[in-house]
Formats: sequence, structure tokens, C-alpha cells
Amino acid sequence: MEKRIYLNLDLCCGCKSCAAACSYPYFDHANLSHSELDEKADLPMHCMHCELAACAEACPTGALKKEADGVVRRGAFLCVGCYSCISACPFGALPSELKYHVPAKCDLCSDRIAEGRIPRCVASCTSGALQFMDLADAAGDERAVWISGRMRSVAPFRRR
Amino acid sequence: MIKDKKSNCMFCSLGCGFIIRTEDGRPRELDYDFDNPVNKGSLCPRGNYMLELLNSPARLEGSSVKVNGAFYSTTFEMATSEVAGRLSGIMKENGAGSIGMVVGANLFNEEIAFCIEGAKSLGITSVDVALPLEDSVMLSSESSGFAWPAKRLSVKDIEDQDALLIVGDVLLRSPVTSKMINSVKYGKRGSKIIVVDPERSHTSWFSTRHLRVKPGTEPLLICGMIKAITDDASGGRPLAFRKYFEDMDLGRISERTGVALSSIVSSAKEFLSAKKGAVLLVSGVRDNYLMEMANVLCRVSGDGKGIVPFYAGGNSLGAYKLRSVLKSPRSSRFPEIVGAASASKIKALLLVGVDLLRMVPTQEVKKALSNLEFIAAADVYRTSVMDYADAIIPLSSHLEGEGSVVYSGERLQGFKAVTAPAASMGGLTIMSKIFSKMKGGKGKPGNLNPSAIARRALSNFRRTKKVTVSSIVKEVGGQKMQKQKEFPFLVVPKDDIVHSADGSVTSRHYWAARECGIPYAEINVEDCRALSIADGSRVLLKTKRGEVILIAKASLRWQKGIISVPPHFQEIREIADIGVEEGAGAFRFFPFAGALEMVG
Repeated sequence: MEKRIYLNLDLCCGCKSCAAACSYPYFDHANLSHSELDEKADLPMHCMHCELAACAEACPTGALKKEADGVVRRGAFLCVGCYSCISACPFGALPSELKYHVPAKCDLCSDRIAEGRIPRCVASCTSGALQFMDLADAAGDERAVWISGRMRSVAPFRRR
Repeated sequence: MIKDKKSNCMFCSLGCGFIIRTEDGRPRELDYDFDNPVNKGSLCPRGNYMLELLNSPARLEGSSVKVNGAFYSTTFEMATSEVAGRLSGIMKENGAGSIGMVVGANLFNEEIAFCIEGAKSLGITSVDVALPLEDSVMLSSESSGFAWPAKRLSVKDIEDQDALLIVGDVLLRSPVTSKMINSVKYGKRGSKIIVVDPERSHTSWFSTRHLRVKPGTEPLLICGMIKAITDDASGGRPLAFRKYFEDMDLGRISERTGVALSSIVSSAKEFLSAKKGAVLLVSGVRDNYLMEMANVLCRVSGDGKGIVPFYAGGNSLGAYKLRSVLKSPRSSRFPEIVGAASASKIKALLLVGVDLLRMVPTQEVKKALSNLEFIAAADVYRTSVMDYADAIIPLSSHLEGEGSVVYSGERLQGFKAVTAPAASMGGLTIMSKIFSKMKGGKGKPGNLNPSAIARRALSNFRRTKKVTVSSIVKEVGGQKMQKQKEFPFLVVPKDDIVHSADGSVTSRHYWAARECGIPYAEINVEDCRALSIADGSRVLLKTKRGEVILIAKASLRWQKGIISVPPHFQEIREIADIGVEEGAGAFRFFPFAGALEMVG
């Protein structure tokens, strides 16, 4: 079964730990975005590794591909830095700044997963909002509202 | 050979654990320690950059000595000989009173204890620890001794509580407490999280009740809660404290704090009726008698309720305890050392692990730095104060040495070196070299054992400052916030999530410097509109001590008339109101008044 990163919006405290954890090994450029909604809620936008990846569809050179293990990966050699994937992502998960002329693309910390560890953002999350699990395990609270199959909240954006 | 070495973070007093994966002794990767009971693997943005402390290009590579105005690289032996020689010379001419020594508070207990005792053995009495300005006020409350003290809880107790009273923004100071707060909030039915903060902070988002006080009136609000509890005679609660709060008027407290009377009473009832409760205190700018009041609140709210303080410095608590025990009551404190240096009574200064100029950039400090005949500084990075130094020695970070630290909840944590120091030396090595050379090379002064001294001093720490409830009630009731016509805004120093304390270490972290590299001011949206200040534009903040250009951030977090600025920048600290907290003998911030003007 494939594991993905799930986000519980009720728990996120906006500490940017996920961005920091991702930045350090990736040349100080996080592979995920973060935004604050009107000072009411925090939205860390991590890559969802979508089933039908819009970024992969948009990529003109074929650098971004959904691979056999389900991870959407960007190969550096074919990437020309055209911003198509950044524009295409419906979640805005790819940060809008290029780093060394290529977009910062989350690769689900493949190096760590290969060793049986979990992605850095999930490990570092201070509130437990980010979880790394199978879809079957992720479905829990019936009251939760699921957003795009990857984010859940009992009452989205209800905080003041 | 790949080895996993465990260590702890020093960017706040929670002390999260992590693993550094080393290969052949060299640090390669940061990994998360899920077995650690305090953080269970999580790290905040500052902790995630721990490796940068080891491999930052800004780390000092070797010692240097100033000759005719220019710095020349030299060996460690020659630099320590130079320092020892100059200090001995000045001491011979002017007496031991002409030498001052300031030790950073974020060093190990053993290093701090050794510096104080070693200096004392040489006859130097002007030696003190530089307590972080963010922590000094609450630290002085650590000495307060009540006849009925409240419990001091450990950090691990937080998730078992039914009610949390959080004073300050704990999710910004120590974001890893988020898991504990979430397990209280979502893990039980009917749990209460009461947040006392003038700011609509991230912590207040998780509250069941947000008491939005006026800045500086937090202790008064706690007073109000105590009065609400003691006034209510039902339930047979022990009402020993009732008489001290009889003269207080809840209506006036509600007016002074800006919190509705019903909210004060309801919060008090909620905290009282919880079976288990904790008061989380985040050190900041307005803490006079906050801990004392929290102590009384816990006592009147039933058995078992306790306090957990959170400090900006990793070892602020250890440093404070050591210096309370090891320093004699008549010896000079840090502000007095600065005063004596600016008056040229102290002619030489030795700084270990403290960026004096960035931490306290007052006129007095700048005068002191130019008046001093000789300044020696040992630190991890090249700090601002080193521009004035005559000798610079690279200090090892806490990851490269052995020692102990006292974290929140009185937790004593031991450290083992993750990697051997490359070009730097541990604090103990540097100081024992300098001290022994000053005595003519006869070994450690008086054969001092740093671990034994530290251990003994920490166990001898007692809360001896006599406080009576009647005296603190009087003091708290009398605190007032001043605002002036010329400077209509109240400016509150408020941390940024990516930085720690004075920013001398975190400003070197590449990502943190990008996320928060330019000083800003958070201004209420309506105030912005009234002054025609656009979000992201530059504004001039004018105060009595000077002015600084900042980027404006229009925000709903603060109420009208209040601005917040991050104290991690020297430019902001220069215009901040830095005064002396007499009780602790340390520098502190006061909220101050300012005026805003649009700049191009």
C-alpha cells in the first residue's frame, strides 16, 4: 500500500517546522509552501503526490513524472525551469521561487523512506498535524471534512 | 562507521532531543528522536537547523589578536597567553577590581560554574552571568519563597492536565508543546485552555477562552482570578488567602486589564473546577510578580495544580540558579559591571559566549566598550562585540562538549559530545588555560572541579527571597502602563518563530535569515489605515532613544495603539527600552512608547 502525507488542519499551529525540516537538506529551500489564511488559520501546503498529478501533466519536457512507487518526482536534467508545474498545482504546493533554476519538488524524502524512516516534515511536525500513512488508516473521525483526500478538519477554518 | 549520537537543543528551555548521524566522527544528518519523552521526535524551526551550528561558514576558525588596529591570526596558546598576560598586567597595576568578566547564560552549568569560581579564586569579584533580557524578570521570581509554594510540574505532566492556563505565546516560544496542548484539547472531554495574551496569537487559536489583556496587566488579571475564587465562599475551599484580596475591586481590575468581568470570573471557575491544572508561563516583557501570582492561584485552586515556566534561553534556569548560589550578595552584577566599565573603573573585560553589543546595545555599553583598555571575547561566531575586542578565541558549541543544562520543569539534562571540536575549544579549556596562565601556569586555580561545583550549587539553590502575599498584591495592583502624547503607540517586543533570544545565533542560520531577515513592525490594520501605511511599506518608528526604519505588517493580531517588534535585531534593541531589573540584578525590556511615520 502506498503511504502519503496527510494533514489535520485542526492541529496545525503554524510553526513552519515542516518548512525548516525540509529546507536544511534541500539547499535551504523548502519543498513545501506555507500560508496563513487571513490570520485565522495556517495552511502548510505539502505535495499530495496526486493520483492524477497536474504538475506531471503540465510538464512539457517530461522531467516531472509520476513514478512506479506513486511518488511524483522531478528529474533535474530534463527540467528547464519553465514554471508550468508551479502554476499547474491546484494546491500551490510547489514554492514559487526556483532554486538553482529548478522548482523545489517534494520527493517524499525518498532517501529516508528507502531506509524505513518517515519524511522529515512529518517527523518534525510539532503538533502531529502531518501524518504519514495509508489512505485506509487515514480515514478516522466521521465528523471530519475531507478536502481533496489529503487534508481533514472537523470544522475547517472555524478558528477565529 | 555510521553512528547515531543523541543531543538536545538549546534554543529554548524545553530542551528537545534529536539524533545527529555521524560518519567517521563527522556530522552528516539530523534525525528525529521518537523515543525522547519530551518532544517525541518533533523539532521546531530553530531545532531543525541544529547542524548549521556545526558547519556554518560563519563559525570562527581560529584565534586572533589585535595588533595596531588590525586582527592577526594566531594559535590558541598565543591568544590565551596574550589574554592572560594583559589581564595580569592590568590587575597588577589597578587591582583585581579592574577586571570584569561576563559569561553567557546559554553555556553548560559546568562552564558557568567554573568561570565564576575560577574568577573568584583569582580575586576577581566583578563576574556575572548575562541573563537573557527576555528571561530576567521571570527568573528573579524563581527566588521567591512562599510559605505555601505551588508545585513545579515537569513538562511531561502537561498532557495529563484537564485545564491549562497559558500566559504568553507558548506555541511561539516552544512550538513543540503543541502536541501536549493538542492532547489536552482534543484528547479529553471538557478540557479548558485559557490563554492570557494581548495578542491574537497562534496559541490563542487553540484556546477555549482567550483573555485579551492589555500588555503588562497579566499579573493583575491573575489577581482578579484569585479574587474571584476566594470571594466565592461555596465549596468549602481553604480561604486562607482571602483577606489579602479583599480590598481589590474586580470591576477596576476588569477595567485596567481590558477583560470583561464575566470572563475573569468564568476562567477562574474553570481553572478551579478542573481536577488537574497547570499554569504555563512564557517569559517576556511584563512579568513582575507573574510567577508569584501564578503560585497563589495554584494554591487556591486545589491540590496538585502547578507551574511550568518557559524561558528563551536553553540554560537560563541553570545559569540563574548557579549564579544565585555562587555569587556573593555584595559582588557586582552584570549591569553594575557595565556601569563600572563605562566609568573606567573596570579596565579589562573578558566575555565568554555573550554578544554584549547585540544583547544590550545601550549607550552605556557602547561607552564601556570604547573606554575599556582590553577586551577578550570567546564565542562560537564572530559577534558584533568582537569589533571592539583585542583578542578573539573560538568557542565550541554545545554539540561539541560535555556538560549539563537545567531545562523547564527543573529537568537536569546531561550532554555528550556529538563530534570533536574542529578549530574551536570548549569553554572549560579556554578558561582553565587563561586562569592557569594568570596564576603563573600552576594548573587549574585551586584545583577546581567544574562538575562538582555545578552539582553542589544546583542542589543548594533555595527559594530564599521572602515574599508575602500582601506585599505582592500591593505591587501588582499598582503597576501601570505609561503612554505619552508624543509617542502614542505602545511598542511590545515580541519574538519571531524562526529566531531565538537576541538572534546572535539564529541570524546566522541561512533559512531563518531569509524567513525573517529584515526587522518589521506588526501594526493594527485600522492604525495602518488611519496613518495611510500600506502593508509591506517602510515605516519609521520613533522613540525616545532613537528611530529605526522597519517594514510594516498590517495585522489583526494586536489591538489598536499597540505595535509589536521582534527583539532579535540589534537595530530594534537599540531603540528599545532596556532597563535594569533590580531584583535579579539583570537587564530587562520594558514595553515602551513610540510614534509611526510613513517613509517612501
